[in-house]
Amino acid sequence: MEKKQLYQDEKQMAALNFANDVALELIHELRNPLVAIGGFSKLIYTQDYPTEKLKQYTKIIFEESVRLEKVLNEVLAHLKASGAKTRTREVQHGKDSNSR
Amino acid sequence: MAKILIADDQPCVRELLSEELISEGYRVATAGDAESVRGHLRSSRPDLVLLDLYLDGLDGFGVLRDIKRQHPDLPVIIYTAYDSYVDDPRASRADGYVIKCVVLDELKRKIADVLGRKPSPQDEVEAKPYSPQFGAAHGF
Repeated sequence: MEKKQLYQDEKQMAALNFANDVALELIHELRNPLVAIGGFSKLIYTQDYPTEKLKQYTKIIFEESVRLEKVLNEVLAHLKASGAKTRTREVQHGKDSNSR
Repeated sequence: MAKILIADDQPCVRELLSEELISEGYRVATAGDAESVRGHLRSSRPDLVLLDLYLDGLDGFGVLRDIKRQHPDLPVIIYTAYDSYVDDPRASRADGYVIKCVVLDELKRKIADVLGRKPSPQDEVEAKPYSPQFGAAHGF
């Protein structure tokens, strides 16, 4: 009985550690594009740049937004593949309702 | 004026930091990988290195170790998107650890602190908080 409990505890701890590692990696993957989007937005509205520079920085903001979305889609795909239940949000008559 | 070497594998982060630090009056050089960092240190020694931990894989600690071995007096600030290495013993060799953030106040303060100069007045003027008035005025 004790051995079985010990095994279950270790298994649970391993799963928690794995989840922590994934969360930390996810934070890293989200932070870089977020810094670029915020940083270049600030430069655009605080500095007077020539059109070419504005285009260059706007392009970076767009590309980093796409990168953010890609990360989120990968997380969602992983959740679906692992069989995790996902929520769908339905908006009906101006009201939000969450359903599983 | 102090020269800062920005070592980061992300081109857009190098570009962003270059713009910000040049506008603060610093001179900057950039490196996208560990070998490029070593090249810069051989050719023209900077006054401070901003070091991302992710260079060609998680090699920033190796670069930090090499820098501190060869140039013990050269200040290095780790500037990274990783929160999880703040307490890593390897990070203790660095002169600062700043987590990447949209607003660069903390980074600028740390640079000024490490270089031993007071922050410029521009340090106090950072990203304006979003307001609907600002957005409407700029077509957002």
